[in-house]
Amino acid sequence: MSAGADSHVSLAEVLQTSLKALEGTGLPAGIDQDSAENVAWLEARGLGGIAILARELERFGETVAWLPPDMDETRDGVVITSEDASAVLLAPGAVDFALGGAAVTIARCSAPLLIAAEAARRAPAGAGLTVSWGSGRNRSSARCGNGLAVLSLDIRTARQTSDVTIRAGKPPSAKEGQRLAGFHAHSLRDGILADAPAWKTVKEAAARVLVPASAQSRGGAGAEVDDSA
Amino acid sequence: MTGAEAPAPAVPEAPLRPPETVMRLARVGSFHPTRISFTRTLVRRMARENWRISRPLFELDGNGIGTAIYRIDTPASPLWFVAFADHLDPADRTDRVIAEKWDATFTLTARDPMAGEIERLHANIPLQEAGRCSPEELVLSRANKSVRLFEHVADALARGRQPDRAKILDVGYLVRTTAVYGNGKFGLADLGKLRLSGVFELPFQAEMLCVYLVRQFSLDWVEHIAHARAPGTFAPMDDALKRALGVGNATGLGMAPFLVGHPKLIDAWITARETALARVRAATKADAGTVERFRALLSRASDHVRQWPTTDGLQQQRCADLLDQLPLLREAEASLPREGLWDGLVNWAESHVDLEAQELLNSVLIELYPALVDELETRTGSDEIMRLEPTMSLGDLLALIDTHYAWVRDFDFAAEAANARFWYRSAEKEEPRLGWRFKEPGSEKEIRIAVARDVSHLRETLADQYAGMLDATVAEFLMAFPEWRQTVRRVQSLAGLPYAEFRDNLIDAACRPIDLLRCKLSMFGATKFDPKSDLWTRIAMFQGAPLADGLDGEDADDWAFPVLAEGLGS
Repeated sequence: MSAGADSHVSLAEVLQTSLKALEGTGLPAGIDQDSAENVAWLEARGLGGIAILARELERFGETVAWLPPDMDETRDGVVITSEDASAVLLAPGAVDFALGGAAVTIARCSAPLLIAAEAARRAPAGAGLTVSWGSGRNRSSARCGNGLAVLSLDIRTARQTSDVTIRAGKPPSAKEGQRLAGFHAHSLRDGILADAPAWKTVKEAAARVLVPASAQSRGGAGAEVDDSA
Repeated sequence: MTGAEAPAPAVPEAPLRPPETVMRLARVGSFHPTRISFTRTLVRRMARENWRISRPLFELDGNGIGTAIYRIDTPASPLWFVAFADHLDPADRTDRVIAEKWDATFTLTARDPMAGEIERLHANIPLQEAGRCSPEELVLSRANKSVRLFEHVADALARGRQPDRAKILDVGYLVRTTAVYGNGKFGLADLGKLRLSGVFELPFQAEMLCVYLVRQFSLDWVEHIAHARAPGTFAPMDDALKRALGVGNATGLGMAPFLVGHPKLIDAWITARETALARVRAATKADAGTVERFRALLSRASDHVRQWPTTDGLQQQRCADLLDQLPLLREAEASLPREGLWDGLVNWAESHVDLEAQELLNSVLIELYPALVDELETRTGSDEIMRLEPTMSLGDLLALIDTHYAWVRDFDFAAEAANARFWYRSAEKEEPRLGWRFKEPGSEKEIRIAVARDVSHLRETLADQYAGMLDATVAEFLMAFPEWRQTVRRVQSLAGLPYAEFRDNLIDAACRPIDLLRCKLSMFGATKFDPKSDLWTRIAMFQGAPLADGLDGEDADDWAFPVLAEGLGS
């Protein structure tokens, strides 16, 4: 096996390994699925989903506890605050509210690109969601809808903790969505070269879903009879 | 083509059987393959599209160790099947997924291996899970010889004789696959890439092609070894005998989480099967030729059951009962009114014969009408997207549960027996296993397969704790109780799909996982189910299928209920 081959992975591996890592870290059932799909969505489009997940996993430690966030209704919409405002935890619920028509802001949200991925995956046909964070010259945004997305990122700050707002918006045109769709097609065709240290972190977290083997557990797999005939 | 894109049927259909009848483990655990099972649809397609299979490389030594390459020319693009045959010490021989060495390992690839790829493939494919594939490889697999049969056949052919008929009947294949991986595992091509390739648009067709070629390789392999042993006396195997041989497979618990984890796909498969049956039942009058064909198929099915080897006491009894009951079906057919004959026969069977015989009858009936049912093979795909509807009220969610998941109330989850089992992934190569919740460690890491329990508990939560707040939205509920997200999404996504859920409790003390395995394996086209416990089974695939050079034969599509004809073998 050549050096680095282990981090040349398929999209299915990114999704399944991320899912196990998040499940093994104790995320609620369903939140882990959404977040794993967000990681895969970003990674497939060259946006470093695995590295983002690895950073969040390292921040969480062995396990993460769900702390019900505070939801404040303001004149500008709903504001979500939480002791741990990771997009891994909050992206699915925040987009739930945005799909209901509310403008939603997550205060001091880590890994904001995951919110963009969640919005891109779930924005309904014919409608759109816009995700924005940062301000002034540091502003980043994602416009999503019709299965497409167009991103405008400030590369210095787009991955930093920030207030993130999701609101209804105009979906991108097919032409606008072409660039990211092209990345996705490329990933499908050629696979993904994952960031090796980050991938290692995710794989190690994924191993937490495994139950140590024992003589008793081998019986639970059947095949204790001679099967060599 | 996915189910959503399929055209509406232009042929009459009887009402589909209700899910409460179909989606019980005991019934799906009695399924037999049909003509829209995946092995059948693959072979039909290969014939229809004139696929050509050649063997550009076959470099095996006298002991059968070396490399073989087969080229498959399809209208879309060529594919290659690469086999690495090795020496396997008897001490290393096991069908379990935890094995690390095999008699032969395989890949199906979209890149010509003769163009500088062999070395990379040889360095990785024999390692299986421990190696890495590239996105050009579509399927990864391995097989072990049937020690009983392979050596006997090689010895007989080397002596210039045909193998012993009884031994062939007893085993039915030369090699057994122990895993067939696809869909991006270990670096393989993603399913999306396969679909874009134009060769494989339907589920599991790439995997089925790989198994078909494993069979072809096993036949070439044994003849090569026999010839090397005694070139002067060697005789090739009769083609009819070759055709009777399939590929064995040992299947364990991994299929069960797949079925629960892909409910929209399962709905598509079962809907296609049930629609096929409904179309046949709606055929108002069976002509004489069709009735004759029915009788011939029923007779062939009886012979097939007589040649069904199993060491499992329960399956032996089921086969014995089948042999008693198939003549009853023949008698009933003769006595029932000709108008609506097949519908009448299905109705008669429901109250007069066991589930095994009922489902065998259904497979026979589906076999009778290719023109009515074959197009349904295009409806076995699904987008598999599960959508959460956050604006739905909890009252509407509760109504959805009470309408579409009323069956979960049949189980008492306060009882220990209803929670007795848990499914998990072992640290040993992530092998899926089934544990006893109150006796073994690890239940906190259980695979989420307990749909009945989870929906039942969600219903209790909504009806009891949220009774006064049913106008709240799903979004509000899930922000407070995110642990229900997966279950809510499942209920919302599957409410209109009648066959998406198995209506049993998969963590009950009495649950038989073997029933789930048979359900999926029958959709693949497996026959000769030979359970080795409630947890795993042996099967055969492609028994009776045409050989690679016989895809255009007149009988190339007539291999339901395969039988080893009298007079074949020594």
